[in-house]
Amino acid sequence: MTVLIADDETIVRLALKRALSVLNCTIIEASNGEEAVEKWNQSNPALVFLDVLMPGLTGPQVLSEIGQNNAKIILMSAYTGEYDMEKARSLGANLFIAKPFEDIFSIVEKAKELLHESR
Amino acid sequence: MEDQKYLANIIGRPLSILLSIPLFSENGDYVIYIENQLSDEELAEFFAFMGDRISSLEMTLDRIVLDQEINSASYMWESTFDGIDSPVAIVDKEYNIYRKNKFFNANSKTCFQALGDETSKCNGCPLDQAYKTKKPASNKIEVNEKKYIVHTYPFSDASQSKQLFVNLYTDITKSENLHGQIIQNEKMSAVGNLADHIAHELNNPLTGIRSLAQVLISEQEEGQLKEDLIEIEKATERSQLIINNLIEFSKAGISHKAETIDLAELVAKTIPFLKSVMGQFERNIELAEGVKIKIDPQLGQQVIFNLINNACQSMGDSGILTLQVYSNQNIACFKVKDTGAGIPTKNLKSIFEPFFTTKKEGEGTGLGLSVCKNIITTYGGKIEVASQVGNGTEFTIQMPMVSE
Repeated sequence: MTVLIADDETIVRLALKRALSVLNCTIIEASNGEEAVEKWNQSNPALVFLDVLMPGLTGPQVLSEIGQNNAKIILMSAYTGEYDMEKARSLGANLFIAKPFEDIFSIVEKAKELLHESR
Repeated sequence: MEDQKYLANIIGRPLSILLSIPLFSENGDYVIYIENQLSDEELAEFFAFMGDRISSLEMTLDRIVLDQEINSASYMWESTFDGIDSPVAIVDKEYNIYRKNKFFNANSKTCFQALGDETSKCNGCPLDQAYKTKKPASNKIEVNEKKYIVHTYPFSDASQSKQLFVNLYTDITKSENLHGQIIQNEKMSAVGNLADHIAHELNNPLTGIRSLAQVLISEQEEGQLKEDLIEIEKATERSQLIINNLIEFSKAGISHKAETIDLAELVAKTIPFLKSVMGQFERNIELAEGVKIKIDPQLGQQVIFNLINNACQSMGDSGILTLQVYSNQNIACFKVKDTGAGIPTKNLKSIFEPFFTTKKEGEGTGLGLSVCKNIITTYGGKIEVASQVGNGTEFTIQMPMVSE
């Protein structure tokens, strides 16, 4: 199973990658919107962590580029004002997580739940 | 001659009554009224005789009336001049005062001396320009801690020989200060937006660091590495607290949450966060109990943290850090004192301004003290600084004390 992590902050990708290693999946990283679209199309991930504010294409723009897909999508953002669960759902995402993450492990749990849903 | 003293003797008889007439008249016509018993012939002779003598009397009377008119006009002019609610002066091109109203120091020769005890013309004086162009000019000057706009109007004196100037000064100190304050408020809201932006930007790497630390901690065996990682994680948690405060601060003012808290307890709670910076310094800590204030505890901690952190940073390798909580009548006081480098007098009035920093690029935003001051004043307190280069610095916060 493949998981795609799209975020422009290196250490955020690293932290997520290390934390998600318990899932025993292949982790693919993208550091901006265009790269995210490219790698998404290439690897057909089951789960995508998508940052909202990225240089170039933003998270929501990536979603509209990709269109119909099979992935579970977790949208992440530091700006909690504009984005919340509702907005995320309306964009086609499954979950919205606000940055900063309080506890990385609870995020891993949520990711697990999402992945089990699709089975 | 003795007998020349009396009008009757000079004019001679046959005058029998000389009436006295008041010398002030609205209409300006003066009449000498003579009662007589002359015949027509004698009257004609008399008129001829009187005519000669009357003309000088007439001239004297005219002069007296004119004098009075001049005096009254002069009085009105002086009252106007003195009554103008701004400094006005008539000066020559060497700034010598010909006439000044009550706003100036008496006994001053020149306008700059009279206005503020200056020894030379004020910076920005428009007089030279008015002299050269022979046209009115105006400019802003600052003298004696006040700001004026000076309007200077050139004119020649009555004899056309001297170039004189009427200087009218409009005090704009208050409006300038108000303007400055408005700019300051705008800066503060610019800071607010900037702070919001920076805060969210900072959350990104910080969240990564914290999450990675959490992962690493979970993978470690008990030991030094695990303990160090735990400290790192705590540090990121603190950083996030500070950033949250910054975001709160940026939302058009500060969170108006307030709780009654014990000041000594709040300080004591904050000290562990500063363990590493406080490490090597000698400590002098006196925290009186029972001194309560009303404040958002998170913001209070932020202020305490900031002051202690600044104090420690100023002391380099060694020094004495003094922390005191005490009360003075109904005022709760918190004092932070260091034996560091001290703040030069010229910087003292600027240290609470946003973005004022003497640190090198990247080492400080210059926001810390302005945020502290903002927090303290929002909760009704004040913050003061005393410092001397080479002798260290002392910050004192005074807040209204909450009684039981």
